[in-house]
Amino acid sequence: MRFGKPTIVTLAAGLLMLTFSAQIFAEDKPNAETNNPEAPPPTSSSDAGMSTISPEQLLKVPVSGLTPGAVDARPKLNLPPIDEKAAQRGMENFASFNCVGCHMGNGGGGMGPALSNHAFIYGSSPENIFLSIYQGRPNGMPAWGTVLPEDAIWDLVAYIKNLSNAPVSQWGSTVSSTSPAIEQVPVEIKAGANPWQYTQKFSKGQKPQE
Amino acid sequence: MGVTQRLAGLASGILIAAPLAFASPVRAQDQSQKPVPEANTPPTAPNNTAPSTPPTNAASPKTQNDTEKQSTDISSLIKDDNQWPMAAKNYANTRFSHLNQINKDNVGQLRMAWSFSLGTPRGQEAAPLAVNGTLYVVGPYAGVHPNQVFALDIATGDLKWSYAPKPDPAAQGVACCDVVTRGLAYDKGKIFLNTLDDFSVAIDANTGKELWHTKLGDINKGETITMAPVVVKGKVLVGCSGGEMGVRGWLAAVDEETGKIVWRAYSTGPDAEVLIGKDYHGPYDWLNGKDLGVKTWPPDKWKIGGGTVWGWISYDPDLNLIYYGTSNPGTWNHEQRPGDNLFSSTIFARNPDTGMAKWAYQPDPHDLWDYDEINEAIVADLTIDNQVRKVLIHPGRDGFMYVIDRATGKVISADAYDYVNSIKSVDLNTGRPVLDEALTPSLGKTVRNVCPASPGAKDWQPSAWSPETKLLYVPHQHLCMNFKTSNVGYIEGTPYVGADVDMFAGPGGYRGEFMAWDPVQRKKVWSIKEKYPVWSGALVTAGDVAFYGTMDRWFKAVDAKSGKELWKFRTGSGIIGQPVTFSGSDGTQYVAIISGVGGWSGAIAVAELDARVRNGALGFTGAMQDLPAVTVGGATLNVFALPKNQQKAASAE
Amino acid sequence: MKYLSLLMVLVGLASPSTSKAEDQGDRGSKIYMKSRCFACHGQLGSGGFGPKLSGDRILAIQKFVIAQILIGRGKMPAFGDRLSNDDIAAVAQYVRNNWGNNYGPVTAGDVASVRKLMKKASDEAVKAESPEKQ
Repeated sequence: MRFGKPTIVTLAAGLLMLTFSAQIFAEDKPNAETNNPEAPPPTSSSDAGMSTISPEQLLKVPVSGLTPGAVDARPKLNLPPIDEKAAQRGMENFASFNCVGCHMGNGGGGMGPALSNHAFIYGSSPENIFLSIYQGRPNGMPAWGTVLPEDAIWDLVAYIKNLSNAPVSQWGSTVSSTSPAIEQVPVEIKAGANPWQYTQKFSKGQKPQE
Repeated sequence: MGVTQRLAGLASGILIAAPLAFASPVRAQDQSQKPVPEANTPPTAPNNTAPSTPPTNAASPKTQNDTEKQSTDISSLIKDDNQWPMAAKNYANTRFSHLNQINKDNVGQLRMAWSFSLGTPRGQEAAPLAVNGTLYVVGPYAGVHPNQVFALDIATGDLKWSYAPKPDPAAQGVACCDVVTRGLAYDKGKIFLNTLDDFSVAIDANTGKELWHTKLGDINKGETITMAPVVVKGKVLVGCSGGEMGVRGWLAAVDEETGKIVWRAYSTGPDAEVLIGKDYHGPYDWLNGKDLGVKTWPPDKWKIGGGTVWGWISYDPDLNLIYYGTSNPGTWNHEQRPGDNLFSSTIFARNPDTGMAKWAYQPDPHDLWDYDEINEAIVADLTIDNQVRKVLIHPGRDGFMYVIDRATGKVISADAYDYVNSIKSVDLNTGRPVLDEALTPSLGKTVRNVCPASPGAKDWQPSAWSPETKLLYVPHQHLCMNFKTSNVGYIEGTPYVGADVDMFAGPGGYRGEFMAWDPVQRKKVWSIKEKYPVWSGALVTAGDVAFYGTMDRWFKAVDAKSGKELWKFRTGSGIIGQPVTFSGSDGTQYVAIISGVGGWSGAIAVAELDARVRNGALGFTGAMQDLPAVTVGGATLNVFALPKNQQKAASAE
Repeated sequence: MKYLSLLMVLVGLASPSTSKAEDQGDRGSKIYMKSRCFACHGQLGSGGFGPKLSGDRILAIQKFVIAQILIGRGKMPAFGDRLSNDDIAAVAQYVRNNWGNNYGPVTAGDVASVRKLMKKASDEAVKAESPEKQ
């Protein structure tokens, strides 16, 4: 249903749903200028089954690795599915909402930090990444919760989890004349929602061998 | 007190505090009413016997008397080679000094006199300023005190004062290519600072006290300021960055006494806002017509068309014209903006009093590759075909060396100075480039091996012009790229790029070059190939020495006539700054450079980027992915001089 | 072509179109921002997540534009229960007359008549789909 061709059936079904849910056609609505002009972020009308997590639950997600008393403070959340379908949609969102302009193709980093490694200073769990997108972060990350529906953000989280799925050979990372040994096949040659599937020999600034 | 009581107390505290919390943002809204921060005046070392060190208390009569004796007017200071009073040394932007205590015979003896840490880990592109015995330096947006200014005694290295503005950290999220600043400006006892988040600030050069601050732009529109301001006739000239953010570029003139904006010239839009009037004459037919800044765009696209002003401003007092270039048009996907996209990638000549344009020349109409033309336009008089011509020398980002009549904007010559395949030649009858049409990008198609890459054959890094050797010393890069466009929607305050880029070393495998170019003979005289882009500025002196720095941590001196390496020094971090030279009150000639890698090219070594993902940093990661193996960030001001005995020998000659 | 079936529904809708010229531009642009239309359609209608509006000739069909805003479709949310007729008219007029578009005014009356006609269509659809509920 992402800009798919509507059919009479789906349209009729949509109309059917609307008659029960909202009084859209019944009457004029109060002037938006005086009555909450800021529409809530648009929500998807197509993808059913997205679990909703309350703001109270999300508030309990820690950003710090320190919890006084060493209590396990991380709430158990019923997250929406973080799968390949979601990652595909997330890749589309990543381009549409200009995430790519800062984090760059395949999340290599630019104006914003790289998403292609395991380093997430505000936490690497799905809910941490969700909150970084939703709330923004003070050093230049915009607060996208003011604009994007939550399911679109969860799709972005799924894509970012793919982006960050770099192969790991050791706990830390070594930089030397022989390390790293590999690089991704760049996005202009191979585009997809799982860029770490395609790697080649590290090129050291030279034109990659094809 | 029991837990319950404490909680109750806490709750009532929150209830009482809540109205206050709501009230405070109202006061915070007026940003022009920022409290004036105190300057940090360090205590003077008790046993400091250096006679030249002025007292740190600026109110003392001695300092005031000293100041009166010394000229503080920028138009006089630029004629005094003991000073380096503006980033480009002088209005002609030559970066040439007549000082010759350090010369090609003794430069090999150069030693570090003193150094100073700026406490910042990001790219250091700024030039130090030297005025009447004091060195003024500024750091980028980084560290505990972003965009901090320091005043240091040249002879001793003592810190006299520092000033820390309060830029919004969110500005980092809209600065395309590292969070750099290219320096300060000075005039009449004031230091002028731009912050990344669009403030222009005047500081008392003696005390470090803030005199005024003015908000010139808005980070929520994607505007930032990275250029070094230039003061002309009492006006601080400042432009904005943001060509990758859908910013509508401008240059503003701010009154140096009051901080009030005198004029603002946009690069796109109707003539009334581009400040094009009856005095304007375009050098070619296609640059004449009403509202070209609107008509050469699809409807309304000029409002987000780029043409930002973040490079160099030169000035010819005789013609009373300032010269500067504008950035690429937005987006990088050219199919979203059919037309010439005036006045992006353009060189403007304007009257500094009114801002009104005299002429405009666009080297890259309808730019395809992010060829900003913000590079310096050096004012020089050249004898060409037995005629003395008043020209601008502009090493174009597009890889062509433009020699332009600075009265009219007509191109006299344009020759490729690096390997270029995107542009075949420049038609001197029309002033338009002849493109290789086969390389024109179309949506979603990967165009391979375009040279030069997006940063051009040369980016912001300024060249130096010696009126003695009549050669231009050009630090530049040597890169090619793959390029693939995509459609991009405009959302204010977010990037507006529309291309995936992947850069790599140009033919021969090297990535940078420092060269001497003869603009009359129109040819390269000598060149030094470097492993990495030469992203530092250049300096040349009457001692026949040219200086530049490399990203792999070398500060080098070479023979200005032959290019032979005479001296080099290993710095703490890679160099992307601007070398300068000046004299202290002790009669010593100094050479100074701030080391500290970063910038667009060096972001891979200082920002959280991934060297394995070539498309990072707008594709620059691809070309620089091995840089983190030779340097990391960290800013140090390095000040060099000859040993005392060598100085005496040089003076005796 | 993707709008075809929705158009087929709307073709049957007819209402007198008022051509009352009214400067709603400022209000329309405010609603375009406040209701987050810009996030998907771009601040200059250049498109992005949602379709490009600049130069899209489908916007010539006034009733289509109004209905699309009222009920949404695909990823576009419905605004019929969030915005008044005046607001919808203002924003519809804004997108139809900016960024090179020039498709004429929209009034609150136009919106009201589309609401009425769509309610009728919806009522009939309900009747047809679930007669046992009547």
